[in-house]
Formats: sequence, structure tokens, C-alpha cells
Amino acid sequence: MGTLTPFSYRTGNFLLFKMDVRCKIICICFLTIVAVNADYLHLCLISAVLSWLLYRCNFNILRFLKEIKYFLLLLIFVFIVRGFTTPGVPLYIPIFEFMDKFKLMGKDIVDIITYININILPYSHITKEGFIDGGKVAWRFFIIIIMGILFSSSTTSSSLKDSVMWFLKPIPFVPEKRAGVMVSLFVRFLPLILEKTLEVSDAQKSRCAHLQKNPVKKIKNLTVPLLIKVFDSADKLAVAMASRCYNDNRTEITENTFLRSGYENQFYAGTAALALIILFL
Amino acid sequence: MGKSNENIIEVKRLSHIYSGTDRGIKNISFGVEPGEFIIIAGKNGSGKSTLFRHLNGLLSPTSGAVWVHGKTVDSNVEYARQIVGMIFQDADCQIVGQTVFEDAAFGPENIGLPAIEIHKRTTNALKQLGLLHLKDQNPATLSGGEKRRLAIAGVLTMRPEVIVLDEPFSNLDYSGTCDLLSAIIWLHKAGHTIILSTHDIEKALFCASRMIIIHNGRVAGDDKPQTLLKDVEKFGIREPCASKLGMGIVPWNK
Repeated sequence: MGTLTPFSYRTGNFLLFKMDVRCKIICICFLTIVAVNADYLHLCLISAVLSWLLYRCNFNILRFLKEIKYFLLLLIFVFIVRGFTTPGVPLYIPIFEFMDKFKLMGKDIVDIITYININILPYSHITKEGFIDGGKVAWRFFIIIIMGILFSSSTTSSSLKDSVMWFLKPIPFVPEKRAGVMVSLFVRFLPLILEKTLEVSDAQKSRCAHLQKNPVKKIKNLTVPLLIKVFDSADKLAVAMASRCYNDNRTEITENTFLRSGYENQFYAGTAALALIILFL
Repeated sequence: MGKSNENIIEVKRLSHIYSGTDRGIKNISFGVEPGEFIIIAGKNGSGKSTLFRHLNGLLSPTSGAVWVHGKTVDSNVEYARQIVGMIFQDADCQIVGQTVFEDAAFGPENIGLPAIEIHKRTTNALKQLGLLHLKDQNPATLSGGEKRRLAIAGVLTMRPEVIVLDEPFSNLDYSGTCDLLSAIIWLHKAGHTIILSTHDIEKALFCASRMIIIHNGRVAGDDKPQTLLKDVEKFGIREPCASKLGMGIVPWNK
């Protein structure tokens, strides 16, 4: 029996699983725009709402964080890069404050260290501004990832495909059916890629790959077999789809796709309220 | 075997050579009559999967042809795929839907059936294979045996006459194999023609009416299983224990 990755679709009785997928897409787009402009207080508010949604969707928060550890590592990387590259006051200057009595060639030691950090060795220190800004950027990304996970785990690929078709239909010269299938297959492949990554990683760990110190070699060892596996799976899937007569002119079972939970208006109102609070608070 | 005008499938001098190698299948000919249960036996790499991919037009032959009800597969691919349903070795890679129901409905959606008919066929197929209670589950959460049964359900919804199973028992535990074997026997009794490839003939031999041995891409034997049984080890296929002990062909799951 396979395990579900955070991106895998799961069944549930909570509102999010029964909602019109078009409503979910509109709200997510809206919240993403709001989140990228949000400040710390607003991010706390959005995080509280998302934590509640995760809890109601039966995600075990600690296990969930463990499962997305690679994303968290990426966010830490973003935070560190931002911290080092944002100009401002070096964060560790207060550590040297006890040295303010010491002088070198008639100048304060603290001033000399600050001068070296800013002018001679830029990017060698985390700045206070970078710390604040990096934290904010990483948190925003985290929120966007959580929204994506909540969406993909509560939406079937067929309803996603139908909603993409619904959104693209009014646009001329866009093959909406093909685009819908492409999006739904991409979503189907996300958990598969994660699953294969874990498989390859475990297989390599069992042969002591974790002892490899060279990070470039480590990445190469992981990505080459992973890409081969993913392309192989994609190839097998394409053959299996062809053997079941896949084509663009399919019957769409639409009667179940846009089932409405009856709470869509409340959801729109809630999203708008959250956005207004964030914009004007 | 059998008169050609009665055959559902007719394979004539079929060859497929993979570019840059001399591997593939060479000059294969045989016919498949309605209601037959054929085991295609051969060791790994003998050409079984390549042969199967020609039966519903997933590969085009280098020379020769395959006919389904008198129509060449190459120029009637969609027709061939509706008559010949194919179940692949790797069940995980043929799952398209994110729920069991969605996956089983994929085939009839493709052939443009009305939504009510799709719903009816999918529900029936899932019920027949004991998967209806799992219809809203993500297929990733199913066991190996359940995934194989889902693959069969996905093909059954297209109402094929012939069901082709490529190494169906690989990577399955005892209970999964028993369940799958029962499902295959039930399909045969329900009137489907079965073509099954395996290198481990013991499991399905009792149900088979005919065995074709493929060796190095060529047909090395085509007869009743009991006639060929004593020679199979020459072609890298293990003779069943019961046969070695002089007990003939006995059911594997009894």
C-alpha cells in the first residue's frame, strides 16, 4: 500500500473537500496576492486561518512539517540569502558593543568592524533589515505552499481539469480541453515526483549516501536517477492512456464536478474580509 | 490453430526490431479464437511485452500485421483498443484518476459514451471486482492486489472481448495473487478471451486452454499446456512442482 504525500488527494467530509473548485481557485488567487504584500501581523492572521484549515483537513501538523522538510530547507536558504544580501546594520554589532571602549589607531573598534562589514566585505554578515525581510519573504512563501497543499489535497484532478476548462473557455484560440488535461496530469505528477524522490533518497541512504560530503555530487546522485524514474513513469502513463483510447473529444462527467457545498458565498465573504483586514489594519 | 475467419485476433508474420539492436520479435504468427485462455510464456526479455503492445496498436510492426476481427490494427487503432483491453505489469503507472471511480471511468470517457452509461458501467465494473466501497479513495492507498483489480475494472468498463494481462502476478503477495487469479478466472467464465503473459506459468496453467512459448523473439511452441509442459525448462521457464512430481496440472490456489 502506498503512502499519501502532502500533495496527494485525500477524501474528507470537511467543507474544503465539498466546495466548488472554481470558488477555491478564485479565493486562493486572491489570498496569494494579499499574502505577498502582507506584514508580520497579517501573516500571523493568515497562518492562524491556514492552521485551522490544516487541522480540519486531518493533517497532523508535526508530521506534516516533517513531510515538507525539503521545502522548509529551501525557505531557510531563501531566508539566509535575503539576510546576507539586504543592505543595513550588521545584526551582530551589539555583540561587539562591550568593545566600545577600545580604540585602534585613534578610532572606535566597533566603527572599524562596521566599516569593514559594509564597505570591504559586503554580504559577509546578516543585517537587521535582512533578518526582518528574509523572515517575511520565507513566511510568505510558506503560506503560499500551504495554500497549494490544501488545494491539491482537497481537489480531484477531474474537477481541477473541468475548472481550468471553464476558466479558459471564453478565451479564443486556447485549446481548453488539452490545457485542462495538462494541468490535471501535472497535479497528478506532483505526488509521484515526491514519492519517487523519497524512494531514491531511501535507496541511497541505505548505501550510506548521507556520508557523502560533496553537496554537488549529492544533488547529482539524487537528481539523475530521479529524472530517469519520473520520465519513465511519464512514458508508461502515456502508453497506458493511449491503450485506453485517450483523445481530446472525451465525455466530461460534469454533473459531479461543480457540486456546490452551499457555503461558497460565505467563503468568498470570509476571504474578502481577511483581505480587507490585511489591507487596512 | 483454429480457422482464421473465426479468430478475434490474427497475428501474421509479425516482426518488430528495436532500432540499433537485433532484439525484438521475429516472424510471429498465431490466431486467437473467442473464449480461449492463452498463456504466453517466456523468460524475461523474450519479447512478450513487445508482442502485447502490437495487439492494440501501441507499437507499429517492422513487418507483418495484426488483425482484429479482420481489420488491421495499424489502421484501426481505436477499434482495436476497444476490442483488446490491456493491463500492464506496473499497476501504479497506469492509474490516471485521483479516485478509484475516476480512474475506472477514464476509458469510457475517452470513447465518448454518455455520462449516464459511463456511471453505470463504472459502478458495475467496480462492484464486480469488489472495489465499489473504495470508489472515493485515492488509488495510491490501495494494496497491490486492489490496484491490479482496479486496472482490470478500468479495462472492463470499455467492454473488451479480449483481455491481455502482461505479467499480472509480478510483485504480488499470496493473497493478492489468489484474489487476482479468481478475478481472471471469473472474467474468463464471463466470456472474455484471456491472453496472459508470465515467466511463472504455475499460477495460471490450470485455467489455460493453450500455451505459446516465446523464446528469443520467436514462437518456440504453440499447443495445449500439457503437451508443452515437459519442454518448458529448455526455454528458461520453470516447470511447475506438481508436474515434476508427476501430478500433472493442478490448481495453484487450492
